[in-house]
Amino acid sequence: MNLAYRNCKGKPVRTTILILLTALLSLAVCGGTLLVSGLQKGLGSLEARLGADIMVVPYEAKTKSNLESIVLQGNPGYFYMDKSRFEKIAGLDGIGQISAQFYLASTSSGCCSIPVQIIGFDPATDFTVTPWLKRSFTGNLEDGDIIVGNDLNAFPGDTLTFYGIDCHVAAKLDKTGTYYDSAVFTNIGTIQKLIRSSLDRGMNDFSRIDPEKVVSAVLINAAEGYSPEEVMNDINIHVKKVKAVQTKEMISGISSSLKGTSDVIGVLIGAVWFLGLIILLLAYSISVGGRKREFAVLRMIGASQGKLASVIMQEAMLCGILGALAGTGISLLGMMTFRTAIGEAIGLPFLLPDALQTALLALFSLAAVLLTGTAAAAFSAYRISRIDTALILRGDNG
Amino acid sequence: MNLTARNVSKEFPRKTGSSNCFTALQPLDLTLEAGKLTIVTGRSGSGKSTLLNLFGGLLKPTAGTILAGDTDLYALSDRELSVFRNSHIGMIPQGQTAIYSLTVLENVLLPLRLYGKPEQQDENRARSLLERLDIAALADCCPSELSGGELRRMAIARALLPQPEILLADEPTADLDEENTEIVFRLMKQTAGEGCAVMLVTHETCAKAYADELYTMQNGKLAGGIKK
Repeated sequence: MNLAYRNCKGKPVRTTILILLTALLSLAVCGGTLLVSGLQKGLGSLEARLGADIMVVPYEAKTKSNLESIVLQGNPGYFYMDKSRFEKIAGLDGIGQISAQFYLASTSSGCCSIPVQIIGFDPATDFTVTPWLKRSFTGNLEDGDIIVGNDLNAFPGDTLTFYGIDCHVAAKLDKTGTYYDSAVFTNIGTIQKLIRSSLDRGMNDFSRIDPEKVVSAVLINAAEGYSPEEVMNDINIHVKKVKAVQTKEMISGISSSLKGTSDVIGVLIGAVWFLGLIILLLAYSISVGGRKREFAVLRMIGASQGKLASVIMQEAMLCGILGALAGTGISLLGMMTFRTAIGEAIGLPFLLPDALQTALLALFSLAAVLLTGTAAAAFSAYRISRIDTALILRGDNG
Repeated sequence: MNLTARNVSKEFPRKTGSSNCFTALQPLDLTLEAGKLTIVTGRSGSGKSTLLNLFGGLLKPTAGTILAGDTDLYALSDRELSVFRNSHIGMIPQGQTAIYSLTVLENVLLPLRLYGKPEQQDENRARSLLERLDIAALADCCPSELSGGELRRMAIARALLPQPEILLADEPTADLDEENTEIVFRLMKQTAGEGCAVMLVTHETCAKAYADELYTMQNGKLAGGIKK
C-alpha cells in the first residue's frame, strides 16, 4: 500500500482534475514548442530548398508579385523569358554556379490528373533541386519521368497525366514543409513537351513562346570573391527585362512573419505556463488544505515533516506524470496528424523536427511540466509539513 | 516507561484582551507512571488537551521539560521525535481521525506502515483489537461508511496496535454508548495493566472507577493526584 497512490485512487474527482490540469499545461507547452520548432525548421528547409544566392526572373514576374506567390507560397503559376538572357547572364563576371528552371501550372480540367506546380530543371547544371532530390531518388530522371512532392496523392509506379501527356512517377520526395511538398519535378525535355502541349491546347497564357527557347528563372550562386549583392546589381544593370533578387530578401518577409508568429506563440506558452503554475498552485493548496486533519493524524501517529511532504510530493508526481504523458502524447499525435493543415492554416513553411529532435522536445516539455507540477505541490507540502498538529486535532473541550 | 513533566507550562499569544498572551497551563510537575491509568477531568478550556498534546510531543511547552524515560522529547529533532512518537506513544485525539482513502483495517495498521511493513501477526492483532471493540465486521469498509462511534473505536484500535509504552487518550468515549464506553475503559485499564503509562482525559464520571490516579484541571492548574 502506497499512501500517495491510495490517496489519489481514493479521490478520483480530485485526481482527475489535477491530471487534466497538468495535461492541459503539457499540451500547451509541448504543442507550442513543437509549433515554434516546426516553423523554424520550415524556414530553414525553405532556405535550403531555394539553395541559390540570386534568382533572376522576367521583370513582369517580379512586378506582378508572381515570384513570391509561386516560389514561396506554392501557388501554381508560370512566367517565361527568352533563353538568350540566360546566356547573357552566364557570361557576366561573378557567376559561380548557374542553372535554369522552367515552370508550368497544371489545371483541374480533364487534361490533367491534378492541379499542381510543375518545375523543370536541368540535371546537368542544377545545384538547388538535385541535392535534396537525391535523398529520395538516386536514379536518372528519364524523359517522361516525374518526381512528386510528399503531399501529393501519387506514388512511385503511378501515372499522372498533364495536358494529355502521361508521366511516370519515378519517386516521391520526403517532407520539406515548403511548397515543394505539393509540386512536381521533371527534367527539361519533359517540361518542354508539357509546355508545348499546353500551348497546343490553348491552355497557356504565353501563346507565342517556343518552349525550347525560353526559361522561367535563372538560379545563381556568386563566385568566390564576389558578393551576391554585387552580382545581383550587375545583372540588373546589364541584362534588360529581367529582375535579379537575392533569395535572402525574398524570404525576409516570411522570416519576419515567422519571428512574429514564434514570438506570439512563445508569449502564449509563457502565459499558459504561468497560468498553469498558478492554477496548479491553487489546486494543490485547496486539495491539501481540505485534508489538514488527515495530515495532522499522520503527524500524530509519527510521520515526520519530511514524510508528510513526501506524501504530497508523491501524489503530485503521480498526477504530474500521468497528466504530462497524456498532454505530451495528445500534442504529439495532433501535430503528426494535422501538420499539413497546421502549415496551411498558419500560411508559413512548417516542418516538424525529426524523430530524435521531437522526442527531445517532448522530453523537455515533460520535464518542464513535471517540474511545474511538483513546484506547485512543493509549496503546499512545505506549508502542510509545518501545520500546528495540536491545534488541528484539539476540539472544543481542551 | 514513565512520562514526566517538570515545571511545564504553556502560553499562547493572544491578539486581543488586556494581556498579549494566554496561559493555557500553569507550571506543573506530573508523572504518568508505567502500569497506571491516570485520568484527568475538567471543564472545557481548562487545559486538558493542551497537557495531552504536550505529553504527546505535538506541542512544545513554553517552559519546562518532558521526559519519556530518560529522553527529553523536545530536545529531539523533528524526525527523531516523530519516530519516537511512532514507536512509543499511542494517541487517541478528539474528533474523527480517519484517513479516508484507506480501509478501516489499513487505518489501524497505518502506524506500523510509516517506518516498516506490518507482518501477518500485526494484522491478526489488528483484527483482534477490532473484534474487542466490536467493529471487526467493518475491517474492509471505508471510513465514510462508519458512524462516529465506530470511527472512534477504529482510532482506539490504531493507537493500541503498536503496543505503545505511553497511551494518551482525549475523550475516547465521546461518541460511544454506555456499553461501548465501558468496553473502552476496560481496555484502557487492561493496557495500563500490561505496563503502559495511560493518560485519559474525559468528562465521563464513570471513568473515575478505573483510575489509578485522578486529577482535575481548572484554569490551567492541575489539582488532585488522588491515588486510588
